[in-house]
Amino acid sequence: MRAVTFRGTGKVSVNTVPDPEILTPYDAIVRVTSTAICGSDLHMYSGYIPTVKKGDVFGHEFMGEIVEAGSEVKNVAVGDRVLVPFTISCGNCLHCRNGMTSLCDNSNPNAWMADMLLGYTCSGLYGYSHAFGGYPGGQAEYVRIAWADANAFKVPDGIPDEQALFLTDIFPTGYQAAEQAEIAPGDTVAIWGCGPVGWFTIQSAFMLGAERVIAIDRIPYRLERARALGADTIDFENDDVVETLKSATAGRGPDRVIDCVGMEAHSFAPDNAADKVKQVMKLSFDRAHVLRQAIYAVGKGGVVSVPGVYAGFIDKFPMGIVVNKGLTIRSGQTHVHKYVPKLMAMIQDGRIDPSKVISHVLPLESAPEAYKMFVDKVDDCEKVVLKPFASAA
Amino acid sequence: MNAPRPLTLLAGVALIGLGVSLIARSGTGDDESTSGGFERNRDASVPYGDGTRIEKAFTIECPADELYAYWRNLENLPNIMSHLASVEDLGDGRSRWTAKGPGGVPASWEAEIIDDTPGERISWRSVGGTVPNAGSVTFTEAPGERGTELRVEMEWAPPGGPLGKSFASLFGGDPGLIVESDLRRFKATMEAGYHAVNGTDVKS
Repeated sequence: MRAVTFRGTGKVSVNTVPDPEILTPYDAIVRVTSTAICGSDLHMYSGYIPTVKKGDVFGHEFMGEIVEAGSEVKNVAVGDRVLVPFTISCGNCLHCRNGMTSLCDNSNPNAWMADMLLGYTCSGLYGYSHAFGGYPGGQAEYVRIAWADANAFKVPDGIPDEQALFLTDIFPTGYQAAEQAEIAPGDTVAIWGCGPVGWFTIQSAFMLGAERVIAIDRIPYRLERARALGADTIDFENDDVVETLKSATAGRGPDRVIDCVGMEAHSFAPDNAADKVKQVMKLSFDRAHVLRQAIYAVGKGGVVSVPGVYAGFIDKFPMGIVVNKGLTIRSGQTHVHKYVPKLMAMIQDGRIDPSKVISHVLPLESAPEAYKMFVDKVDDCEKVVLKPFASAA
Repeated sequence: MNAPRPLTLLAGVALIGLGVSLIARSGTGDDESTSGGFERNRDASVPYGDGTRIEKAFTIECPADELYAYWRNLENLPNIMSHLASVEDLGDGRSRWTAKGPGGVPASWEAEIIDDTPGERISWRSVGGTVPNAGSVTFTEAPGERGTELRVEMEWAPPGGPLGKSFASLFGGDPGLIVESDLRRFKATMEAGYHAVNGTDVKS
């Protein structure tokens, strides 16, 4: 089959690789009809995620049709149209039973690697490094999915791929980011990063009762899209973010702040320049400028929500601010499974149209150009959907 | 409510308990009357203090009785222990274990169960053979309905000696890591029917 594989920093190609096979009676094989490139794929593409190897198949936002199912698969069957969360749940460990599926005990075959990195392993992820399981990803014609009963969600008739696809990751990620920020009526919420996750976070914040959302980015088309959702915006290249937030809230500061940027923050601030030097020198510190700024900018007693991906260590962490302002920090990979039914209902009710995040629909074979376009933020590239069977469709 | 305990001491006590039980039962008889079992006994499978020891613990969302039943059927163990080729139950608590040895040459030894408390504990030791080893697995209820705490302790003859070395080499790597990944497979099998596989990475 054809699949998007990693070739080295800043390079992917589409190659012919072996077809996936059923490996356990709980598996299923999905023929992929739509798959997306995620901002977190760019962290791997740019070489910032450990244990990514040449030849790895990328992709963790995918959906399609079940074409083969193992003997123990009961809840879904061949022919079902399904979406598949990027975090892999065994369905039965303590964390999965409690709805915290990204903390699954059992789904990472390389748990010992994640144990070393994290202390305790978290769930396996599709197409996202060997420390997170080494599972071949979904930017491919076919994907083997593990524990299909727990991980394949049937898509209702009448919901097109473009509406359902983002339930695999970025819509639940944005929603969890807003939910864990504990937004109360009347709150002002500041959101760093107006990429696809930021776009869903802005809408989720409003749905959860935010009075006002202030979105921060530097890319004009992203700021424009944020304003279209009702957010006020700050261009951090032109304005002082902290002072603007303070003024906009008449000295209170935002009640909740959300970092939708993560480890590759851009800024001209001195702390970020130092972080970038260390990353380039392979000293392996994440660039945490946004997180530091959010902690500085948030009002007293506020909540700092971090959906953005950090891979390892940061330094210059302003713990004194956290202590003295009495802040709460909430984070986590997304417990996608917990949110799929609720957010699918919102789509069916017409409360949100996730397809509007899409800027490009391309054949799978165009993946190398699509990655470059996404990382360079050209052609107003917001979100790319790849079609593995474009010619047949 | 249990009183707070120093955890390092707890592990030490468990080790002593294992050592004592091995020594006490490996001498002249099967009674438990031997007192002061801290002295070395040449006949013990792994005399206390001489062995290399591994202790690993996992919490499993499954009742202790079910975990015990799976484990007590020793012939199940090759399903979860990647370096075992087979375990044959010989009856009367005795069994024959065959490991996938280095270079594809199998290694085999006989073991006997020396403590079998249904739902709580199984202890074993090797009998004769070239790979002196002993171990126990205990099942205790985890606090707050979090399932069952599984704790495995294993000892084998000194790694410096030829015997111990041969046992360690059976595992082809870090024995602690091997036991840990075996127990992970056990946990996943009991909780979710099967352990995680990705089809790409070589099994550890």
